[in-house]
Amino acid sequence: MDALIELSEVTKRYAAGGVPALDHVSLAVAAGEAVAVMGPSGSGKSTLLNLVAGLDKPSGGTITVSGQRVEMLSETRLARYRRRQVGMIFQFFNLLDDLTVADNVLLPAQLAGTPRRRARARCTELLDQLGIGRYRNTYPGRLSGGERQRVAIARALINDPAVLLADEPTGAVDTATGEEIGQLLLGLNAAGQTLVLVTHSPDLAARYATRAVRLLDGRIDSDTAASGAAGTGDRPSAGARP
Amino acid sequence: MTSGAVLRAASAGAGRRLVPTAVIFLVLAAGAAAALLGLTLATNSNELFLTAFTQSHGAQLAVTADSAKATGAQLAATRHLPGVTQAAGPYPQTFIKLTSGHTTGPRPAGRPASGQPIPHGQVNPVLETPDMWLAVVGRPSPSGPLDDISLQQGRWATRPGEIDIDPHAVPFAAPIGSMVTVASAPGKPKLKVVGYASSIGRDEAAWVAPSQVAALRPAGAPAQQQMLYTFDQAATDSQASADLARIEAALPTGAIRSWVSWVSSNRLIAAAQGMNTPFVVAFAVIALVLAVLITASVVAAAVIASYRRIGVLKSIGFTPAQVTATYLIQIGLPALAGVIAGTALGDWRVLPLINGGNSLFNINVSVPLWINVAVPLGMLALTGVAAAVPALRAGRLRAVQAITAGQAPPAGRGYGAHRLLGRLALPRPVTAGLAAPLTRPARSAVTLAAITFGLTAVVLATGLGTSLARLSQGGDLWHHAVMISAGRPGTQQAFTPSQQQTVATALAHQPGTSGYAAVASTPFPGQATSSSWAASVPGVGQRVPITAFRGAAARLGWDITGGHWYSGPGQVVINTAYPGTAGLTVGRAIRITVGGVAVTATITGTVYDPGVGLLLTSWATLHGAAGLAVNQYIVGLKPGVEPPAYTAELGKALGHGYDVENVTPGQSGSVGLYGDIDTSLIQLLTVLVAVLAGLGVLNATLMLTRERVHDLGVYKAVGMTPRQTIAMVTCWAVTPAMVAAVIALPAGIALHDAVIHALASDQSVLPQIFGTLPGSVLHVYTAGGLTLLALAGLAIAIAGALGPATWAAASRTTTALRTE
Repeated sequence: MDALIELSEVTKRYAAGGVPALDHVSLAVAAGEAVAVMGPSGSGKSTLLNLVAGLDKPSGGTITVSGQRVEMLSETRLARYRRRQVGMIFQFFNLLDDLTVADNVLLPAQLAGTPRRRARARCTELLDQLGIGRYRNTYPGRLSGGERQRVAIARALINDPAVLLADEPTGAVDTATGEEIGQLLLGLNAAGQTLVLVTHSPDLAARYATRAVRLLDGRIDSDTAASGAAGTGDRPSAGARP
Repeated sequence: MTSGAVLRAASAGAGRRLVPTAVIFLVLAAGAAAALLGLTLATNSNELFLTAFTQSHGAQLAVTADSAKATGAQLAATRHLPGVTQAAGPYPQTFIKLTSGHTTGPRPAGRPASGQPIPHGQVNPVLETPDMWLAVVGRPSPSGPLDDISLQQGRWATRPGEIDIDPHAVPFAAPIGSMVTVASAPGKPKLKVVGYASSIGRDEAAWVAPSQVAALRPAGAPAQQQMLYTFDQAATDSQASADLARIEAALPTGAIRSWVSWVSSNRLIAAAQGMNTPFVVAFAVIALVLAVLITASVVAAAVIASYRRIGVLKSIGFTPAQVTATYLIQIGLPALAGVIAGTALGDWRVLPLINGGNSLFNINVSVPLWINVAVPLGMLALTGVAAAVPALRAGRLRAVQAITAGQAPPAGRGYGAHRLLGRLALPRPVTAGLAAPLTRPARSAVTLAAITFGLTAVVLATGLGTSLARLSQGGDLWHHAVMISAGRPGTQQAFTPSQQQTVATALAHQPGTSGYAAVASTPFPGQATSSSWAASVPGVGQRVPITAFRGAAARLGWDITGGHWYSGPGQVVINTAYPGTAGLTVGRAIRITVGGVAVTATITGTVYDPGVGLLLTSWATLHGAAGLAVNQYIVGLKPGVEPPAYTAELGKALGHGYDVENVTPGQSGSVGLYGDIDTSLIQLLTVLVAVLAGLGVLNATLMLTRERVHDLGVYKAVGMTPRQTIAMVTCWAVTPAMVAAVIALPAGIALHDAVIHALASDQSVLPQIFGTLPGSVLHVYTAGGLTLLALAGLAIAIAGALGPATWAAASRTTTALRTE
């Protein structure tokens, strides 16, 4: 299998000599997979996501995304990598309150230098697809949590990234809204979007991911096919605890 | 225990937030220095001169008498005249030309002569040209009843063969111990320089033992003596004139050859200070206002930025009073250090500036005590108020309110700007940056004010520098000139028609000649002359000295005290240096009889110049008067022409029978005073103002960066590169800079015009020969120059924003995203 994302012996320490947030983690994600990363608080889930997104750098090991060694990129190249290769969805949306919905969605495209007309067309397409086209000139402060998360999803997809990274995408919304968000993500994955999803909810993992990777104390505790939506049985993974 | 907790919280707060702490220190230091400098300069006056004058027992009148007309006993007897409170002398005096035996080094900084006559046949002035005559007086010691000579280096000349010199008046380097040659004396004797000295009266340049003087007198020159006086009334020109008249009446006719009154010296010094005042006050006000503005905003912002921390302190048990105390201490520590540093900096920098300008007076000036107390106390009080207001407010808030208050700006602000600017075809980081200031209008207003004041100061300083340079060049006035006499120096022989033709021809062919004036002056009392050349003016006198000019006399530069120079025939200018001129007012018509011709002329102006006649007029006014003859030419040089070389070449061209000497016109006029204005003061204040403005921008950008750190994280998370981040944050200051330019450029120009007009309205400081202020002095700004100045405002803004911008670009995105 040619992995779209490949982590090899990745370690992350926030303090020299301290307990590693990630400890020699190796993980491969194929194109089109939907992987749920689970674990208790402090297990390293968000750290792993941040490393793949290039928001942070590992203390050791290698991270390869679409054939690119992410840990070796400079800050400027990382920014460009994030524009093109990665779409980030955050738990608390992280929208800019002083920009309209459309401006928020357009931002990555504008930073990437996408021609204005093409960017606007893609923006309209995404907003309509996500059912929030009527809010294009509205400010995020006036939207519900679910609507804001849809805006965040649209922003993440504007540049057609290779990977969609979602950190607790339903953590800040109610159950019903979370269900809607989940279905959205499921639909995206069904259309071929590679998805890495951080969640502490086994139910969410089971319903919207094809594979579940469980972290414990910075190490992969298990790597199984998620039951329900796709995949069967356990899946061996490097770095899993004996 | 409680106070320990407060102190610990305060010191930890200051230590953890090093950048805001450093900004407070710098702002208070710069603000205190600017306030101290501004206040000191604004209150400085010619009291320094008066203090020095009193300390050195200055003479209110210095008279040079002809020894052949008045004996030493007759001169000494004048000390008993009514009104004379003290007298010194007579001291033997003569005039010499010195040359150096050394290679001429850099000329010492010169000083303008005070009240010295332009040498229309008189050999007396102290002027700053190598070939000019220097007054030398025989004094047995530097001290005396009057006019203590200040010995700065070396020792007093007590033996023949020795000389003390004023290094500022001698136009070449003459180290102590070196030999100088008295080129004008028979045998060209050499004297050894044994000391440097100066006189508050500024009317002599060298001192020797009394017995030495006779040997230094030029061949054929009359022996002279100097008498010094103080009077019970000598504060005004008319009183000085009356005092002189009494002295003159007590001596044989024609005994007094020349005189110098302290009134003119005092007036020139006051004029110089007066000229400084508009400039300094303008800058001092700008510096003070900016210091207050920036200090208040920096301190208040520092407290507001700590609201979350304040909330945490309250949640663990700090009382409102303890919270307020914590932040007053946290702000007060760097503020106190800054104020101390700034006051010391101001004292260190102000004193040399003041003393440098007053080194001639040889007194040590210190910053007045009240300023050294008022500035630090005032700045600390301002800091306390600026910190206490938000700290008290935070202390009263509930902990939760304090934690949530002062974080991200309230929603709704700046949205329209973002939408509007987003439509521009500019990179997104730029449009986002330009719109950001509108989310914090109050803070943006402070940034705007800081840049506006800073840019206004720069515009004003630039314009003033150009105006002053053009004024000091005297516009059309001659800065250098030479004087041509026929025959021996000092004889005032009339030029024959043939000689006049020779001079005209020589001048026409002499490169470097700007123009010239032919001078006909009736002799001073006692000089041999044709008896028909006696001007009679009813109510003034039967033998009134009169000077007529043919040519560009206006360009000589006059100390015009009222009205304006004559502009045609039938007009005269009155020289108030003479007694009895009080009734000769501008606009009055007078009848003059000279050389058998009676003319009625209108008085157009008044001057003060002891070196020329009582009446100054054009040749045409006295047309037909018998005895009207040219006895001098004053030739103006073009800019850049070296006077010594010109003098030598013209002397060669004229040949024998002519004496050519350098003179510097305007020495008794006010034009030369513009060089006295210390542009370094203006530059220093401008630098301080610009620094304050930059610090204000730095602080505002820093606060905005901290508030918007989460937004910065989002931008970076979606792909904003470090360079784009720097551009965006820098653009936070660009909008205020652009608005500031729109305000500051016209404000600076208007302020410049106001300052120049304030200067021009003071008739004692600006020659009125132009009638109105020269346009070249007023219109100093060009489109290109203003563009550069606008860019200067942008530079101030960018300089202040660059630090926070770089920090924002380098900050960790993950940390920023967790800040909610």
